[in-house]
Amino acid sequence: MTHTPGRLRLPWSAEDAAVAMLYVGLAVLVTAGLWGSAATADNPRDHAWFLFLFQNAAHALTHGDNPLFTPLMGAPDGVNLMANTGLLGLTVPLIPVTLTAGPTVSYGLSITVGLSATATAWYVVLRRHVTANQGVAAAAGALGGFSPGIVGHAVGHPNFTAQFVLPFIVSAVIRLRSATKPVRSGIALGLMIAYQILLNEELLFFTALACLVMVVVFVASRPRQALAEAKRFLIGLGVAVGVAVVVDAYPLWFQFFGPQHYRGPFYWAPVWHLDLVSYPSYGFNAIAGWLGAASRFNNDPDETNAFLGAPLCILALVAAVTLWRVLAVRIAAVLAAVFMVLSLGDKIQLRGVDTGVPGPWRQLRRLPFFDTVITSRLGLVVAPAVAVLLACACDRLLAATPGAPGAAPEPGETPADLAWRRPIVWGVLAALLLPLFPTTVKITAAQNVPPFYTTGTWRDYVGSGTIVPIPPDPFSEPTLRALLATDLEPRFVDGYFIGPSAPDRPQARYGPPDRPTTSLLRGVATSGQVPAITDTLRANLMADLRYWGADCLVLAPTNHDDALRRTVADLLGQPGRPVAGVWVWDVRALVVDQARLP
Amino acid sequence: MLAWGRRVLAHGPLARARRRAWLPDLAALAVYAGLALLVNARLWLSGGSAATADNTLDHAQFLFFFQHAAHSVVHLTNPLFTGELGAPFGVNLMANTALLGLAVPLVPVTLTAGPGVSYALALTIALAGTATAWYVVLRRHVTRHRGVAFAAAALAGFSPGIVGHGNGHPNLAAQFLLPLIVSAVIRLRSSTRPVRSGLLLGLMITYQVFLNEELLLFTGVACAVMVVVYAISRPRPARADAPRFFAGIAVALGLAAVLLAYPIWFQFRGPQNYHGPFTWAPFYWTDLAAYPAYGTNAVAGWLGSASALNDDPGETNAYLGVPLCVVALVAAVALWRLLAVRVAAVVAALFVLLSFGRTIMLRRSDTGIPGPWRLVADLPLFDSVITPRFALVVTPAVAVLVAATADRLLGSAAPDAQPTEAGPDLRLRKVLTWGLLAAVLVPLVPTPLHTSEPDPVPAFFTAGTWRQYVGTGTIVPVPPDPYSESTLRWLVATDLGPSFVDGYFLGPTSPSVRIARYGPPDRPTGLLLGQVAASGAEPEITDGTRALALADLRYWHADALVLAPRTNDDVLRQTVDDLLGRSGQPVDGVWVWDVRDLVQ
Repeated sequence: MTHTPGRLRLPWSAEDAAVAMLYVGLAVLVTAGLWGSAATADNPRDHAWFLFLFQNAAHALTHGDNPLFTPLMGAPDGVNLMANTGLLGLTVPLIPVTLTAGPTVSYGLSITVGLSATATAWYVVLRRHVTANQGVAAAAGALGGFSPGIVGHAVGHPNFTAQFVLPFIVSAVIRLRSATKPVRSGIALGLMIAYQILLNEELLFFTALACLVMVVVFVASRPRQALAEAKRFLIGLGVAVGVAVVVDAYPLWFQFFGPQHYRGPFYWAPVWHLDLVSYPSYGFNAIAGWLGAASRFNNDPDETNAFLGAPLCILALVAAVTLWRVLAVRIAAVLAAVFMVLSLGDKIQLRGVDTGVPGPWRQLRRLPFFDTVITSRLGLVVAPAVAVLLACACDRLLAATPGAPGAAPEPGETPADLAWRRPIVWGVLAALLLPLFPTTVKITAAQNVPPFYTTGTWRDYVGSGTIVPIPPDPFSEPTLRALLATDLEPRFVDGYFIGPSAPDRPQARYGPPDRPTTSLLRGVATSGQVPAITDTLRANLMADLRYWGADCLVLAPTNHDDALRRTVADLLGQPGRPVAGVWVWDVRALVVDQARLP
Repeated sequence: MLAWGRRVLAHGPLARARRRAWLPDLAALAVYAGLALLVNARLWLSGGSAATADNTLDHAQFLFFFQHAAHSVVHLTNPLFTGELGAPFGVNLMANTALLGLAVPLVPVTLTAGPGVSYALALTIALAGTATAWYVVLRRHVTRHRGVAFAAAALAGFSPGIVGHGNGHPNLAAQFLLPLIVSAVIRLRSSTRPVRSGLLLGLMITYQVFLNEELLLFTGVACAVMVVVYAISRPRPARADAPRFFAGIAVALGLAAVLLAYPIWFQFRGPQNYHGPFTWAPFYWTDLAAYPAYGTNAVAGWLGSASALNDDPGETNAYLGVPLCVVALVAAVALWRLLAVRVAAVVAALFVLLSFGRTIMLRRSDTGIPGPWRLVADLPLFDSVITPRFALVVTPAVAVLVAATADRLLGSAAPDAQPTEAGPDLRLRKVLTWGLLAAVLVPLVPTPLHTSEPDPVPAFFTAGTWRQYVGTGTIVPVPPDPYSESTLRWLVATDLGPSFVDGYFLGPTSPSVRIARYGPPDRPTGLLLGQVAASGAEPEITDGTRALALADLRYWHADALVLAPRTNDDVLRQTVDDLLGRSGQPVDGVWVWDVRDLVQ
């Protein structure tokens, strides 16, 4: 553990640069298809959401709007973006790219930077705290930055691939206890935390939990030393939290108390959890999966948050037991165990079958913040912990621990034998890691946007009011794509976001609160049955249109669009007009007339 | 156990230590036996009544083989031939994997406990025996380290391929003689008594012919490769050893030829002999992605990483997983200078290439790259090889590579490598090395074979009722089936009582065309009934079809037609009623038509 002044500036050697370049190459391999205008095949909707965020950040800058809020979706209320994975930490720095090359390029770039920088950060931090061997750190760093979990999120979650600050946060926490200037160190840590808040708060929360576990293990292992260092550590930590809260005061206030804020629980969070066999099997996005070993339990490609494979799990176990006396190993082992068990969720499952054993997550997930965690993502912490175990094991196998006298032949071993031992250790290491080699993110053609939006025809039908897509959809990819195609001009009453259930109920839900007409039209879209239109339904529609401030209703080609068209025509008493690939009902006159009624 | 053994060596009296030196070996054997019992657990627990669920047909065939061997011994009939299947011609069992090398020694078991128990016992012996034989041979030629030999031999004896063949192919799982044959060939060159060594090798080859000839062919090819690699790598000693070696080989082949003269003549020239090509062989191949994937029968598969390519659990002949493939590659490159590694690497590479078949497939799509198998696929003997089985040779070769790798990591490669100094770092490194080995091998630990209970045999056979309907003639199952599992099970249930006109075996296509096919030659009535069974549609019965039916019954020497419950049995019954102009009788769970009066 060498302490260099100016701890974020690193003495880069040519080897370090080469390792970073390898990571960039690997990241480009993963993102090869993402730079064009296509959508990711496994999660085109989340992909579209982040394209919107990139576009929105650029738009906010050029138009002087608040980047933390958008009125364009969920009109008339709008969406609190700070409470919706705002990713300002990437979208703002990439504004020049978004403005010049478009949000798709920004997305590809953010994933590429996220993956390669995360691996590089782990490389640096592993070298600092775990191993002096550059090769070992490079291999373990690759696991930390390109684990199946992280690569899985490349299909739609750049906020989860960008983990590059986390290793430095962990490292800064480790160093606090021995900091000569605790306040200065605390400020640096606080700034990192403040930045991470603008990247991804869920990961920051995991990192805080992991640091808590780390501190507990340290205190239990070295109580006397811990006691001696407690003061410095707590001062630094207090300063850090204070700095972070002050720097991010406005965004945090906006997130929890600003317009359209919401509260947990996410009722859908427990649906995503891992299975006991998720860890010792392979996911779809690893080369082993491509070769046929993909687990049938990896049913959601972007939530591949475990899937390390049996060989790596076995080695991690052996390393944990064998090297238990090494503090880094002990911490990593406890971390891996804790987060693995938590990621299994409420009821621990084995091969899709409930074992009847309750998971400890059952108790935790009722707590604030915990109640909005997608359970399986806790598995993201396990991969870097396993990387630490792997690094320690390889170090010992190569007999290259810091301070060790170096590799010497065993009795009866010739120098030639020794010379072969090292490549073999590397070979076996490759054997454990190569199955996890990432594959390129699959892409598909992006959803077609009707010419109504792309040619600007919509302007003829929309004034200061909103567009009501038929049916309004709380998971609407078409609305995201239409917004992108119109450079964020019209306002839509639906969209894809998380907001409060109702103005007086802050519990989170996807999309805007349901209106009577929303439910009616979604029923038609599902069943294809045109309902009997009553005066009540017509009155509901009028009320809803006024609530929405609607200028027009737009029906794009979809399932059962004929039944939808007839229903809306009947409700409004207007046939609707086929315009530029959609059916449009201009309701400006109606809404205004109705508003004038006493 | 190893540590304990070493302590004894260090502290105990030398004589006692020598007496106990075999204890670790015994422990290895015990683990192999335990693992073999685990794989067969469901077969044993059923008391012999269960079939291997992933291949019930071949399981039934081996029950028949075991029963037939016992019957031959008790009644002193020719064990190489059966008249009970494919009547009136019968079946050449020497040409039908009859596994006499295990079926004959197990006759007492078959007679007292039944062929189901013999199957479980044969498979248990096969798996444990194969691993033990590799343990002995690896210790002899590759590593002095007992632990390394144990792990590598476990891979060779319980590979996904071998365990996969537990599903109905005990003949392919029984590989215990092959390592000893390879070892005997290796030792010939340095043998002080080449004739005696040759005689011993000849006996082993002879015995292997009664276990499995396909594997003997593979072993022969592998030994030829080994000799070529040796001759190229060490030309001078090779030239010096050549006379002794070839003398030994000549003696071995000579002895085998003499001992096997009658069985081999019987196989290739005896009644109902056939020859290749196997027209179905090209439908089996190994996908390039099958080696770095896991099979359904390994722990990794159970954990969810079973390859979709492994759709036939009986032919899991590759499926080593990426980590083991990488280790093998690294070992081949890093330790190329070691002769054992070089031989194993070349053998593995060659058999991997051969196992691809005529064209190399990747993830079920044709790469367009021709497989080298094309060059030899049409040669005699080779034309009846199912190419994925070449992968069975790859696994032991990889085991050799793994053993050499572990030896280097543990520093146990050098002679007399008992570590005199055991610092904590050294100990740690060794434990971690075992961890690495475990990481690569544990995913391949076998899971127990799946079993299912076969359909009950109708009382018509179990109660002996059939005797009232069958004299010296045959039974015609409705429809006759060239893949008939029920005929096999009925034969076992009646201790080979009646003769059946169908069955499941390989024979000639017709008396004049000797190319192999499954089941007896087709007859018009057999095809007609098969069509009815498949479609459920009643055909138009004319005087012509009735005349054909009568001719076929005479050809078959039929005494009775028997229809057991099955899909479309109602239509089948009406069709046979119509064909014969008489109604079948419902007797003890089947429909019977007594046709003795018609045929005579």
